[in-house]
Amino acid sequence: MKREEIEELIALFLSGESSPDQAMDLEGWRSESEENQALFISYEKTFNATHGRIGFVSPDIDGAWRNVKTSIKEEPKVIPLFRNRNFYMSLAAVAVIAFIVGSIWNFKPKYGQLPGFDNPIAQVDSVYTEQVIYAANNVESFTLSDQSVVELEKGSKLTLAKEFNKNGRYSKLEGSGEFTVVHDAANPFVITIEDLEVFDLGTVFDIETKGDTVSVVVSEGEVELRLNGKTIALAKGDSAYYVISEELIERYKTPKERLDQVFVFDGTSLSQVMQQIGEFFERDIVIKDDVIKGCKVNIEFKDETLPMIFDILQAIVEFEIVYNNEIIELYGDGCK
Amino acid sequence: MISTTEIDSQTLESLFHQHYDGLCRYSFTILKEQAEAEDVIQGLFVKLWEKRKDLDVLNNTRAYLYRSAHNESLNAVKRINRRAMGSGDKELQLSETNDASSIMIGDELQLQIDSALETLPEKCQEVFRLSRFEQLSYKEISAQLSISVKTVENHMGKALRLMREGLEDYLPLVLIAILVSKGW
Repeated sequence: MKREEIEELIALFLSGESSPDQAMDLEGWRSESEENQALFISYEKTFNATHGRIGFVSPDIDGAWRNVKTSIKEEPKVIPLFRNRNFYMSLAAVAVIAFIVGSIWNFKPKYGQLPGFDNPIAQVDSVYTEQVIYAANNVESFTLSDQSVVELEKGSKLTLAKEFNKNGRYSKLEGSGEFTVVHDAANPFVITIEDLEVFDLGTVFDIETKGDTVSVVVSEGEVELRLNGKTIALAKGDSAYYVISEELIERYKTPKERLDQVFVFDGTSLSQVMQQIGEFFERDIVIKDDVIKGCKVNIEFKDETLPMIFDILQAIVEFEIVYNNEIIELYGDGCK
Repeated sequence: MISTTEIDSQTLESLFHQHYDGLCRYSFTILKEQAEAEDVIQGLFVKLWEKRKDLDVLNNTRAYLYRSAHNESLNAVKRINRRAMGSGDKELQLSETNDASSIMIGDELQLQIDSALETLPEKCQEVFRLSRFEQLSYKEISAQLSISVKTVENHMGKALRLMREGLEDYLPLVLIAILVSKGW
């Protein structure tokens, strides 16, 4: 590889922009010789110095391995995370619930790993007593008796109510976790966070909590929040927050406040795309030519700026942009 | 090249020792936090173990690990940013945690960095400044300057080389100043 190519690769890597293949190429080059390694370190130091960063320090690999080994020491029994994809697809809806609970809860686990739970992917059967799932050392996945999957963050626990999946699916979370919930209208999945109850109504949504605030963002379908008699129904694109200390739940007022900053368009018409984008960025976007309104868009944006979104969309649907005072006007002759 | 169907605990340990450093380093470039990066990579190996029987089509574990490291790191960034935004504390976004603008380094050293920056060719300097101070991605820089991403890559590589040459004598001092300012 030429020196210029290596320099570009190193800059790309240190900027956090390299693809997995580029990272592997660089890693391969770096391990080829001590000279390469020294050159890389020199560039890394320069980058860190000019960017005011503390560099990467060689990790304690043996210590890290001990952590991993603790989590994998037993033979897994069943059901890795997405093994039963067909089963999920056959159901009407799947809900994803993610909780991040901050230190305000002062969670200090009283439980060790219970028998049957020391394997992160062991199936958790329905029982007639309250059960506690606890992720001791790492993020760990558990499959519940209703086939919902729980991925708990390190040091987090989920308490399943008695007769879980026999008499409702009630649980309480302390710590952090992500839930992939199989929807069953006759058997609601309810997660309690302090006094807040989150009811799955057949949807995909995230709940993120830090410190005193829990935020809920609905990506698909509907979710219902209940707190002290107050109910907030959230549909796709909606979001709300719960302030634990104030016993308060409120809807975020504008789409701008949605937390995911992700737009997923799958066969979505350009007019719908522009409506969502416009609401989020609080800009008036008007499609002036009807012929392009129905153009289908299949793309996902994550944390992109409005100009970048336009650039990408223009590669999919040919249109011109005219900035008419505060209004963004789109003109086009047809779909690609 | 191995099939994950062959993975037993010994193989996993071997893979771990072989790739952990490189994967953490890669994750670190995305997360900018070493502890987070190490958590992500340890979790990745746990997942590899959990899914090993379902990944029988996989024939390149190294590529799988790097792709997973990339995806998991991006997910972690998203998760951490959500936490920050959920609490209303937008200052906690990862991209800003190591912002050099918050680091007090000595005037003389700062002058050296500024001086080295000034020696860069105009376009090269512009690209570097947008990356460094505006924290724009290569794609964003490309859009803003109406140049290709490949050209941005060229400029950044060149900038890094010239900055290295310009700061060669001062690098140890600069790094010490940064460490001190970080409370190390």
